[in-house]
Amino acid sequence: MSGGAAWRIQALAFVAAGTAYPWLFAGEYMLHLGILVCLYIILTSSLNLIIGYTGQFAVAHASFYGIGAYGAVLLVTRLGLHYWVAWLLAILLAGLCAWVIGFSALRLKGAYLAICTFAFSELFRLMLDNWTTLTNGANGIIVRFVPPGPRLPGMPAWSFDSRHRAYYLFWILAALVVWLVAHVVTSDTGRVLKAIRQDEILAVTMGFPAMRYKLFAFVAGSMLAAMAGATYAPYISFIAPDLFDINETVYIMMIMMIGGIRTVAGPIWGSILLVSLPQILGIKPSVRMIVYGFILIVIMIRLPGGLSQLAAQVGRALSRSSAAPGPGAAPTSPTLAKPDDA
Amino acid sequence: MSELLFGLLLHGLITGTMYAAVALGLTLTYGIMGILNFAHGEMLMVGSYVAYVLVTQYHASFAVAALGAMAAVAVLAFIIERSTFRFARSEHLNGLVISLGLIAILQNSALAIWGADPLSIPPPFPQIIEFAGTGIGLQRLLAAVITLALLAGLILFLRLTSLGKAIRATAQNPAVASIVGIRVNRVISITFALGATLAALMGAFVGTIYTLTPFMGGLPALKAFVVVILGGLGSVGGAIVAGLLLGVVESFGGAFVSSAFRDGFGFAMLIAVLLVRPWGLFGQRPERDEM
Amino acid sequence: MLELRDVSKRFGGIGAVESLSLAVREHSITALIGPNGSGKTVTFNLITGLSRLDHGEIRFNGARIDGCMPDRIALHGIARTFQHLKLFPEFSIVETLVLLQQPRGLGSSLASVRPRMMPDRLPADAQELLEFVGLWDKRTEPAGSLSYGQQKLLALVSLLTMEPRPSLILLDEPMAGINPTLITTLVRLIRTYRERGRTFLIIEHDMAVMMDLCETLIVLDHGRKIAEGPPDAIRVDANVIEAYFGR
Repeated sequence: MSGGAAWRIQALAFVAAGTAYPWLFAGEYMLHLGILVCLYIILTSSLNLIIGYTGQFAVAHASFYGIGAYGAVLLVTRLGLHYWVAWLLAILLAGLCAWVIGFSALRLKGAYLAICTFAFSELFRLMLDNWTTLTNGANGIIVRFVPPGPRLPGMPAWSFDSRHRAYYLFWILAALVVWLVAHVVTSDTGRVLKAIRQDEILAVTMGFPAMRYKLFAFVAGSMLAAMAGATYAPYISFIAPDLFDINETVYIMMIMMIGGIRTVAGPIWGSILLVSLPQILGIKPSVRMIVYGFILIVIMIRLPGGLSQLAAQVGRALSRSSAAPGPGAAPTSPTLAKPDDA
Repeated sequence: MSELLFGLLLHGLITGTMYAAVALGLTLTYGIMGILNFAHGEMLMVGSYVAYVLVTQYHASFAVAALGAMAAVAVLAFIIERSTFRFARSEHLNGLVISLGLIAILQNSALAIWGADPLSIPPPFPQIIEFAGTGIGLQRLLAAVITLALLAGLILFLRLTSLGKAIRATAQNPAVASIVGIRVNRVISITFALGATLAALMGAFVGTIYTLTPFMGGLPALKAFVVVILGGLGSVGGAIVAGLLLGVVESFGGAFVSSAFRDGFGFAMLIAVLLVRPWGLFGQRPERDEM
Repeated sequence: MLELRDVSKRFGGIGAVESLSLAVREHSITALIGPNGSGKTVTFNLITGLSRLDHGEIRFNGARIDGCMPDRIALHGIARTFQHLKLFPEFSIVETLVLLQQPRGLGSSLASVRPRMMPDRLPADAQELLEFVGLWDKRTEPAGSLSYGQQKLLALVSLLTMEPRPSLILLDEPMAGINPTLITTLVRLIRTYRERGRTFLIIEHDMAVMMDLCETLIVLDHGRKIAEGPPDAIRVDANVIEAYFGR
């Protein structure tokens, strides 16, 4: 199967790079960057499942990210729950919200889903801003706890209180999410999702209950975003409504699309490049957004597959010009092979 | 008591007129391009800032500033349509994403130029007048009257003039329209610019009634979406009626239920409509193969 | 096998289908013909659940299927092609056929942890069928890159190989826009699979082929059935001639 070996090499490289990162790039600042990249790998990969693979244009992703963050924080501070219990409950809460929204909105034409999720996103922000007794409004909430680590026999209690440890927490979660998404999209379920994106009516007349699949992608993707939020809140120590509004969703979407939708690697490369570069180069957020806005538009018009598509095209051109016989049926780029090549 | 109710109704209608005008641009654009322009609120925002600059820096009268805002946004809309949306007509998802990119560009450009502090345009008519027993800001009243006149004019334009008929024909069936000799591309550009210009004028008005920030377009855009859904995607008459309805609902809801959550009423209506009757109050139920 | 009783469907006051009653016998090849706009595709949409009927009943093997969702109707054993050709343009021929082998439910999909050994999952007769229609060599090409005629063949092949095997196959203008040699192939396919136990209901304009292929023809005009019977009878039916050649 062409691309299979290349895929395994990439996966290995990804795991090795991520695990070795703190040794290669030590220091608080670089670790923080690494954590941000991992965070956005989770956010973009989960959104890719919904938009990229299943073709459902839902723009409330940052709200579910926010449900995870606010949910976990409030459950710990107001109800005194153990962090990891609150973490889990916040994710489940997000799943429930996603299920309710999806159940009504996914039945409708794409435009309606976009509007519905747009409205939900604003509604959520309005709630965060105005329900001050619960959320402290626009002032936000300072988070003073850190995730405790698992109790190992013979070892004292510990927590993820250093940036180094926090990095590993995020890294493990990011790797898990990538694995999960990759597993789903290369499986039977993934094939159905891709079919739904290409022609939902055809998929339905062939006997697939498209609604259930769409709901699955939407709920799963949203729950993963909530997981990111629940994990990030104690790390960043402060949450406020404007971290979770439509602009944040747009930012996540930009990274995902520029990196390349419909590939597992696209969001990863997008996160690595687009989250860290502006920080390293010291570019202001507003300037960054303007530049990304232009890049996004250009990509939509000329290169809808994003950088992944570009890399694949370059790879094909290179392998053709080197005249070496390909390993299988279709030529694939050696570095960014799509796992769903036939 | 009845004066209170009348006052609420009037306020609601005034606000509703402006909602209708903003929504109209959105629904026209969707009807003719099939693209949902999430950046519509930014057209309003740009209109606001252009008017602001003309009034405060060039000491123009408000009327001139409003016209200037409309002209500037019309040009901007032409440029946007020709360079971006034109290439996304077949893939509607692309159009949506493009509009999100436009939001980022426009909002952050305004942020970079004018900063985040709220600004305001000094209103030319700040007086409050007595009207049927209740106090109304003259600026608001004038804004609503002018807008209403424009809306009426627009409806007549769409019905009676050849360009208006061309617009309606293209919205119904672009393929047939081009066979009949309509310059479809030009009609689409004009329609898009028309909708944006209307939003820009609303922006100029809003700048005198409320404040300007780079993010001011978000809420009006959302209200516009609510109106467009309520009235039916692509329906001009629906947008107007639904706009007025939303204004009135918000006015009464804000007074009798909760003023802090005034903005939420629209969304509550949106959710209700989407659950029960997504094709809007005036639309027709589509077949399963169209959803 | 398939029965429509007094079925009506109106679009805003205009009757697309009016009081239509027809029956399709098992193991038959039946034609649904009529001038443009006579309601043939609407009838297909009603049968497959893509349109809701305003009045009447549709029964398949005795069970009512009107009002069911399209995916449930497909699981009853009814499959169709589309007049405006529909396919999954990014999937290769192999991937399309494999997709249609999969268990349809979400639970079964999620539970299936089979590796992606695609060629192994092709149905037994797939190779024979693809070779017969000349698509075997192109089986790894994306469907979107095939020619129009090849895509139409793929649509038919998908229906014939899909699991669960559909017992009733609705074809909407399968011969339109393809060259005559492919038409012969198509006809042979339909006849072969009728022998293997399938039932066909076909919308077509190519009269010569239909008269030869089908044992029953149902004629629609303006949403109503105006004739039904064997080709020889339809050929000379006054109503039919008037509908086609003007009044």
